Amino acid sequence: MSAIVQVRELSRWYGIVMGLNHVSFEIGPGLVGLVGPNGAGKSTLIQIITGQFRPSSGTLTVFGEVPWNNPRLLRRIGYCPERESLPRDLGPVDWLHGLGRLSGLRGTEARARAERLLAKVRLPREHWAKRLSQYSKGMRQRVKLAQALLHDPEFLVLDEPMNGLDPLGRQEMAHVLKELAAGGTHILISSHILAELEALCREFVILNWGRVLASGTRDTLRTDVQGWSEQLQVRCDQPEKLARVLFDAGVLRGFQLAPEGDWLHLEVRDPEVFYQRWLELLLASGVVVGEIRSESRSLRQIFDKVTA
Amino acid sequence: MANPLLAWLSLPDGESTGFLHWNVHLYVGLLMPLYCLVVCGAMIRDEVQDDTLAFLVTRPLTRARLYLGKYVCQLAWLQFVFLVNGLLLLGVGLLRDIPEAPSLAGRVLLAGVLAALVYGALGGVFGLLTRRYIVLGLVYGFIVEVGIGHIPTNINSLSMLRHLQDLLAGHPAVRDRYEWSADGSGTGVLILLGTTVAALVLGAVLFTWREFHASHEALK
Repeated sequence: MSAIVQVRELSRWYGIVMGLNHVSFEIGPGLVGLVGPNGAGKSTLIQIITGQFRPSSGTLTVFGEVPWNNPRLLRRIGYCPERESLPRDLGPVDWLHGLGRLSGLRGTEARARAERLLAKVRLPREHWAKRLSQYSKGMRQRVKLAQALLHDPEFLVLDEPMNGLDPLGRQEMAHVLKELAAGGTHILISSHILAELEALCREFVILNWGRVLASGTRDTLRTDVQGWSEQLQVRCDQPEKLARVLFDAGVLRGFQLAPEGDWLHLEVRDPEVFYQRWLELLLASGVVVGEIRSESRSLRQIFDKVTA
Repeated sequence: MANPLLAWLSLPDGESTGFLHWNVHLYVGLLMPLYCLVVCGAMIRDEVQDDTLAFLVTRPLTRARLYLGKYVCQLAWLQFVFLVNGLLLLGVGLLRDIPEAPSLAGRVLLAGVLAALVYGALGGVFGLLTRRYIVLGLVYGFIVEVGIGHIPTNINSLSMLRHLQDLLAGHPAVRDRYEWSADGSGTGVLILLGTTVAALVLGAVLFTWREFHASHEALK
């Protein structure tokens, strides 16, 4: 399937402050993570995707169309904002019912869908009669996700949806998002909680200072990042011997012996060659390996590398 | 609802002049425009200030439709409030034995309908322009409604209040008391409706083209 979002030389300024700086990239189908520190341009990008802002220059299209004031396209997009502000005096069902009517649903249908979605996002029924102003941060996140799903969008854009959720809440939210993705909904999710994004997403876009530093799958990112090296921690009975064998075979860029004695830190030159020869070299060395940890596969490390 | 209560407390029995002043100057001339400004100025501005506008503008409808839909909702509330107020003022008039009260009530109610339409639409535009829409509305009131409205040439047609007064002047007691002419009341209604449409179009265009960013708007 072709890209959901296509961005060409997009810039966005707020007065003299630059939100996005001449970026070009594509966002593919499935679950995609938007990664970046505060001020990286994530929310600006999301607000242009959802038709709240226009680009200062360049183009951004979603499903091939420009989002600004485009109801036909907005019918296909659901948006869950980062900010927590919700109408103070309404209960969740009434609020969702009103938004459902604005989304073109009939009265009874809108109410029924509101209730179904509140159940789907696992907001306990005993809280439905309360006003939104009485809700905790986690409960607000669930209601915000429910409103994004009201018109059954094909593409869901979530800005920091895990904020304020406790670990169980995060797990439940992740479960809901995986269910939606399995049902064919494309999801763009921004977060600074990289571990959670990593568990959820297939692809990533890494932003910083209004620029796209890298994008693609985790493996693509790792390959694309210049100077990248696979890193392993190996616990074994003779770390010095193993390091010498591997280094002599030319598969290492470097290594370090841990002061504790039985841990060896390896910096791999070419992962493909390394893993082809790893078993053969290990058997040849006669070293007994107790544990192997791959450090360099984490999104955190890729993120740290590209934002350094 | 304080308006009819205060009228009942402050107006003496059988005193037509005070009742006319209350209806014509205080209620139609001041309270109605101010209330419309407060209610309709807030219709988009409150969403911006509360940072909830994103939930609306990301719905699958054009911004112009969203703006007009908000206006219609506020208008329904204004018409309800003015209907209840008008009827309660009629009740006050009857309780105070004001002979003109029953015949004036219809014109006050009609003035309420038209005032809600036109001042609501203008208030909506002011609310889009600045978060200090009440200040802008007061400036507009002093310059256009009070200032230009009292210039004895055709330029006073710019004052919406002038046309509401023409409408009220269709009642003999108002015409005699204030020496206003009701000749232009038909044209006045058309001007009120035309201004309403023009202000709504301007508001819809502004809302369609303007971006609203809560943190930036807070500084304006």
